[in-house]
Amino acid sequence: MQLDLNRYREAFFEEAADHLSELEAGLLRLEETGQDSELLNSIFRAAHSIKGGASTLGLEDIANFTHALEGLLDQLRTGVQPVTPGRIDLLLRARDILAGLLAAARVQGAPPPATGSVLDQLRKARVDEAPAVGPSNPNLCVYTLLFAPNAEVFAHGFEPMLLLRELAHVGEILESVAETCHLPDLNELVGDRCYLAWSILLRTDRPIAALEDIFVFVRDDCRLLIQPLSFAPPEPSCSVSEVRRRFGAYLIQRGLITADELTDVLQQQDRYRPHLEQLAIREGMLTVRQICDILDAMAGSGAPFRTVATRLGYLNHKQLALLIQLQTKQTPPLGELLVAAGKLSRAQMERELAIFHGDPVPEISEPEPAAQPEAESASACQVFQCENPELLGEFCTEAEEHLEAVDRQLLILENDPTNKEALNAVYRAFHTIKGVSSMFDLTDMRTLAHEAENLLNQARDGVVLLRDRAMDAAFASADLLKRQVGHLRDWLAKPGALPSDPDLPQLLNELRIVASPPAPDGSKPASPIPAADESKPASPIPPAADESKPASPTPPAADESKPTSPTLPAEEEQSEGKARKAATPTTATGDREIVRVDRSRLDKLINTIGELVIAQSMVQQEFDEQLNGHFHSRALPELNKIARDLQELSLSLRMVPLQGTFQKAARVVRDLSRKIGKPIHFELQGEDTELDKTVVDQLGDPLIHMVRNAVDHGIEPPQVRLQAGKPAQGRITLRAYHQGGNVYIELEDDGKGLDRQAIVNKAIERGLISDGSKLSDGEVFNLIFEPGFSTAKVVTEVSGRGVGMDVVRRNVEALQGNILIRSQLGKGTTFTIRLPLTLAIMDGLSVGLGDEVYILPLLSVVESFRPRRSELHRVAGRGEVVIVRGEVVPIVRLSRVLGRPARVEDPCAGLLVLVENQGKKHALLVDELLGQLQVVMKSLDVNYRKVEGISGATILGDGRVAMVLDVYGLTRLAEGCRGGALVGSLT
Amino acid sequence: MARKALIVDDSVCMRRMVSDTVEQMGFTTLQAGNGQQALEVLADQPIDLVITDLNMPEMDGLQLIRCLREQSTYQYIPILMLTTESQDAVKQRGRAAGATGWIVKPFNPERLQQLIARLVR
Repeated sequence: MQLDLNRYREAFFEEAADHLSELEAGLLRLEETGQDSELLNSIFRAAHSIKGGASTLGLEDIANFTHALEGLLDQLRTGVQPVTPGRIDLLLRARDILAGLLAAARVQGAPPPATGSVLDQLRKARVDEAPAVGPSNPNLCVYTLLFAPNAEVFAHGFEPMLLLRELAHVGEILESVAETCHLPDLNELVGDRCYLAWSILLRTDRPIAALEDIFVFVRDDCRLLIQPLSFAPPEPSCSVSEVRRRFGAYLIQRGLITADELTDVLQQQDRYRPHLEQLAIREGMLTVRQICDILDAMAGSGAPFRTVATRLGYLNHKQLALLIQLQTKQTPPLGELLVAAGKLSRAQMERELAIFHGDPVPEISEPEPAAQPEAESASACQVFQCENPELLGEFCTEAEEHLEAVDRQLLILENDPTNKEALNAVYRAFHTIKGVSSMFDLTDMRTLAHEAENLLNQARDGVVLLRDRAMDAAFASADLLKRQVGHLRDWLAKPGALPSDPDLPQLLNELRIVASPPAPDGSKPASPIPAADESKPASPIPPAADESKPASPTPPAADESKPTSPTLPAEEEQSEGKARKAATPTTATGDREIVRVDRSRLDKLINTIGELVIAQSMVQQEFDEQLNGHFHSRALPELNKIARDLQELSLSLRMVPLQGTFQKAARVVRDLSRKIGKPIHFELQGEDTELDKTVVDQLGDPLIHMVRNAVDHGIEPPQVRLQAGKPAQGRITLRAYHQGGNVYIELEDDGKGLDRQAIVNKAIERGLISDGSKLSDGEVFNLIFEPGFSTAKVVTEVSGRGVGMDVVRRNVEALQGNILIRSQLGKGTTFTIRLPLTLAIMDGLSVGLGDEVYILPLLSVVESFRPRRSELHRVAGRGEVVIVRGEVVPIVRLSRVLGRPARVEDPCAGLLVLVENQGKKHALLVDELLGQLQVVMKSLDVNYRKVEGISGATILGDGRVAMVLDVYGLTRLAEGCRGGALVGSLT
Repeated sequence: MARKALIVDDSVCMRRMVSDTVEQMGFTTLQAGNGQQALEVLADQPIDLVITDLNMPEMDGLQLIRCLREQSTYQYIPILMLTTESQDAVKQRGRAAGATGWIVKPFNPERLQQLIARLVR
């Protein structure tokens, strides 16, 4: 049914959101704790759940993506791969993509653009698991490895154990024998000499080349032999084995087994038969090096082991005989193998064996050793991809610097062509550009740099003199390279195709010509200066022979890889999590049971309870008025209490822990600190602190902005911190707690603190304060909340544009909170946001104006007083003002701003209420102060329309309606109507 | 405890690319622009791996390697040369100076990680 499916869809999306949050939290924790199997399991389960749900609902793309994510997580939790920061990065990115996919699916929108690429990366990140052991894998082969490092191998920084460990990773080590015969007595042992050697049987599906590659560096420092292991055929002279095989032939004659079956079993026997070389090492009769010699000789002559061993004098006949005996003893007999294979019953076998011992049997031909599998072609070359436009930008800057240096030095060389230092400097510059440009697959640049470097090399060596044509070529190279860097910069600004330079081929040619010393026949246009040695060949080989063919890169060593054209994808947008629509809070501990409730129903419930409370207080008032204290009800106080409890409970339904927001902040800190290279320890306290849901939603952006600021500007780069005697790792703490009916959120960093002087200077510059005005630290710091204010010297893409902090303060104050700054230069900064516990209930100050009552938010009120005549003044351009403790505060006549009649005109007969908003103070003139009360706010926007200066309305105990004033709006109105214009009337 | 690597190259860009690759394996990195700086940055502290360019001003890679091998602290640590040339002559000189191995520029990051895994615990 259509309806049912939709309901499940919603539930699935809700749950998936929870799982995503778990995923993220888990991954961030994993980053700190490292390998944690329980954590990994829970992370895996979260992904697994999402996959299950998605697949059930037919969300195939999501299921596929999650499957890849789950696959990688599985490898991590089973230990197939270790947990590395790179993997966590990828997983977090995948989680973000998944969040985007889910969000898109919910609204039938488009999936995130980076989905395909991240999916690819997830798949590639899976390591090939160890090949299944068994005959099913046709590529499996057993190799024998003999490895005898030289005694001084440690002095080159090798650690043979690591190589052996790697062998264990590429295959299964069937057997490993260490040769210890060279180990001297402990008192003679020299610690930095290697005395051990190894003989190893390795089963793997990798080709020999891959195995040899493991030893690539150490090859010259050891004796190494890697050979596919042939099955050990029985020694022809061994009488016992002949008996066995004849027994096999006998069984065939008896019709008990077939020839094929015998062949199979004989092959099996060969597989189980230990090799003489292995036995020799185990018995200590031969060293690994000796075996290497023997095997080499065997390969060369084709002679069998025993022949070569004795011929080389490594074994005498007695030892050989012993070995062969051992071999036979350790080989399972034919009969046993047949029984084990089920071809014969044990009883039968024993009977036949008994009978057999009397009969001669004709020879049967030996089975051939199993054919060796073809070595696989070497693993495909890997592709280098440049994912990092930022790095490319750095390269551009670096290259430009180098090229500037080249220009300078070339000018020096014009006057002094043999200046060694200048030649070296230019050479190095071209050399560096060559190296780095090759990492970005900028083949044109690299080729040019290479030819230029070559020219300079020739000049350095004195083969060519850097003058005239050669010098022109050098200059031209630098110019062209500069143009190419310019193209790169254009590309970074607007990705498209990289243009190639039409002058390049000619310049390359010219460089090659001028770099070769003039031949005696003058094939090169004569340069007036004679070249160094005319007896040299016409075209010298440049030192980097393999790199002089740029058109067809040849991979000479196993280490060089073949770069292809890079894909330079645009930076992924980090999607900041959107506020979740879930009606219920997610729990941090997961211990509480959750019930999902429709959001609008919840709102209605809370509303109705609010009205109940109001109605109850109205009843109380009527009661008091009617009975004038003559009668004390028992029921009413009870009703009061219940109503208040209900009110509190209903409000708590909308309470949500800050955990979600905090987690977002943690993520931002992590990504940003890694991006700009500042290690930061981010600590969260009080994530469980709960706030009204709307408050938390609105707080998200301001908090994130402040956290970004702290990372970007607050915390100094590690070197600076170290010099200041601080630990290199910065510390940022975000904490929340309840106190005195409010919620406090603090953001503390141990960074460089606010520079009071810099702020003052900037403020003076912007005309915000006058030079010489005396401001407290607090007032100075508050200046950073002014729009457009930023003392950051560099505007990064992250912050520093100064559009943030004013919005932060406005948001906080819109939530009827305020924000306080404490800072110490060099030590750090703390922002403290104070918020009322709920929006719906507010502490208010009721004031009278004419016949009406207005409510002011208590948080905005500083004080109220009746001014003295001497404190009142009139200032040109600013109107009426009052002096409060030396501060000049403008007076706002509430009656004028609201357009309502007042009873009192003279401020000295009325009351001035000092309010503060956005750092500015105003004195509101009202008739009288009525009292303090708790107000249940009703929205005006919803019921009527938005009115500037009014944030809502409430019903007083006597049933009257009182408007709740918005100080910010009021002050704006006041500034607008200084001339006395009236606002539209309010009814 | 994280392993530490020293990256020496006169190109900032190259140093970053190498250190990014190495840090992915869980190393923390120290960087220097030439051999002389490298010795100063090291200041006798223990280190698990050195990756150095050969062609640098002040003190080049080979000199650095020789210098390191003479100090007991660094006698046995793996040292990789980062070189644009793959000719035997270069490798031989490196070996003679005491280098453990080499990787050629441009390098494949995964290859570098593979090599490092074999050289450092």
